Amino acid sequence: MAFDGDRVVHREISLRLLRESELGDGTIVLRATTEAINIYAGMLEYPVEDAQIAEEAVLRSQIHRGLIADAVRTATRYRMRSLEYEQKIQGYLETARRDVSQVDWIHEVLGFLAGARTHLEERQRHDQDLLRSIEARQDVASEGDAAQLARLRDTVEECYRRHMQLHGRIIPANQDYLREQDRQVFRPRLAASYPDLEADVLRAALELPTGVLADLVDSLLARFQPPRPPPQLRLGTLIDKLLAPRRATEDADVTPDHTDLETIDTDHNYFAADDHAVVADLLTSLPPGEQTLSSWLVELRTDGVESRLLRLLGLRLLTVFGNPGDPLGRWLDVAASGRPLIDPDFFGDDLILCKRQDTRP
Amino acid sequence: MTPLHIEAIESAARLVAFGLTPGLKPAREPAYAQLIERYRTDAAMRQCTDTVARGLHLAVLGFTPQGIVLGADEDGPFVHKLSDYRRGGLSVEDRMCHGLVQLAIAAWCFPTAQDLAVSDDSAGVRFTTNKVVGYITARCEELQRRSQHDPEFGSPELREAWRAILQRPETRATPDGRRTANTLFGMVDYALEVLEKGGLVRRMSDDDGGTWQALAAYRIHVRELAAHDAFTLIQSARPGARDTASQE
Repeated sequence: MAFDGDRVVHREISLRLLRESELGDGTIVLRATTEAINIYAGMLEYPVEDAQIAEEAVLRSQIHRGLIADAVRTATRYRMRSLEYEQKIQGYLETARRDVSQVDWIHEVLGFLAGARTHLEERQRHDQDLLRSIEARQDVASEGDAAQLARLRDTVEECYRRHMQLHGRIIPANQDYLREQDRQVFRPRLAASYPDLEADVLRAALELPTGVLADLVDSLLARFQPPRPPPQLRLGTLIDKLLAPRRATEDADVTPDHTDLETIDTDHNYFAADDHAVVADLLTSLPPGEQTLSSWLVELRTDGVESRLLRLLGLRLLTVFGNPGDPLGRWLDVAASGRPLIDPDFFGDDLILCKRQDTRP
Repeated sequence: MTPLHIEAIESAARLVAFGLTPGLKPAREPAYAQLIERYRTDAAMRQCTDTVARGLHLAVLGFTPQGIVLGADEDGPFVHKLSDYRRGGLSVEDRMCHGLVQLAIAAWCFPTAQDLAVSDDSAGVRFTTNKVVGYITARCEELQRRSQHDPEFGSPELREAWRAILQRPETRATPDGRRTANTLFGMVDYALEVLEKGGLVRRMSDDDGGTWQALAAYRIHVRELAAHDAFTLIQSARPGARDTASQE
């Protein structure tokens, strides 16, 4: 809200409160912006350094007057300020390190760093003063105050450490910059300044006659895709791959469909009609209620059921499992149990079988 | 040439090869991470990599924690041909719509110059396929309204691009995931799939027709593109057309 002459005008100001940053492993983290911290602390119009000094003065006076509960609250804000200042310095140094062309080092950054150094030295001195006065209070404090004073002390100490660390980062910043500049001077840079895509490019494109735009679009479409490595032919590798023997598969023990190779009465024989009948009987004889395939297999094996029939039984159950429309599925539920099947002959996931009582095959 | 240089050339070429491998991230390949760090800090290595890339008709557009970002030169072996964009051939108008859709996605993600200039370590916005479809139609409808109220603005004979877009059936995502290639939704979805394959955007979920996040590499590409002829031509085409109109 603002005043324009004698009229009140409402103005909309948009601010970014959180910024998403991408870490190396692809995770996204949220960072509060300076504006967000300022809105939180209610001091949108002050630079962070002034706000820090102000909070500290309030804090000092509150400790001096013994308003410990208020001082704890102020200290929290003071801590936010120190965090904000840290963000500011780090952001600044990071920009300078990433792209030396974006900053005016001699005129702007060196001044900024000198200011920051003085500010941080002052902060550390005042933090020490604060800590000393808190300690003096602690010696004579009542029990109620003592706990709050301890919290206060922790908060101020945290700020003191942060300021000390930042100071340690500021001092070598100039040397860091010079090294980074050496590295970056030859980095290719785009001469053109960027357009506003929405206002300058998209809107303009939409207004162009289709014929004109179609001519421009081809190269645009090509450029919107990153480079694509074309596969390269190497004759030796290709021939090796073509001639390589097929990899052995897990089903290698299944007899191939060559009637003349088949011998009678082996375990690998095709299932006969009788086998299907026996398996159907086994399924009908399954008692109602839930049971696992593994336990049923153990039972059947002790009853002397041949492994060929067990294999057919397993296949039959898998058919029901994979095909809900199977006629057997009308009275038998087959579900995965999530546990592996422990069995000398079979491998895979265990199944839970549940025969419904009310229906008959 | 000293052996040291030969080692640097091999490392540089390897870094370019890593950059060309689809889907490869430094976080998963320690050798890649090492080379990226070397590229960032070692002047000779950087020079070498840029030279190797240039020789291959590529350009190092930048680097992010997610890897090195390469761009293909138009006359090199790595460049995408129009036929790679969509198999089965496109009519002139289809092609133009696909181009506009790509332009609109870029404009939605980075509407202003300021959004393009953001530092390379911050991730881009999240958006959904349906939002982009809505965005394109809204922009076109604005122009349609203007043409209805301002008789001197535009002419059906010229058939501006927005008229062509508005004639396309706009379909939103259907519950069964059906889509038609020629609808606006189908085109946006396809465009985003192309970008995803290129490692420029990431699919977050299937909500609202597909939820996506623009990656830092996408910004780097669009930034580079912003200085490209086609963009400048589009920008300059409009005022030019207006000037001639006003002279008549």
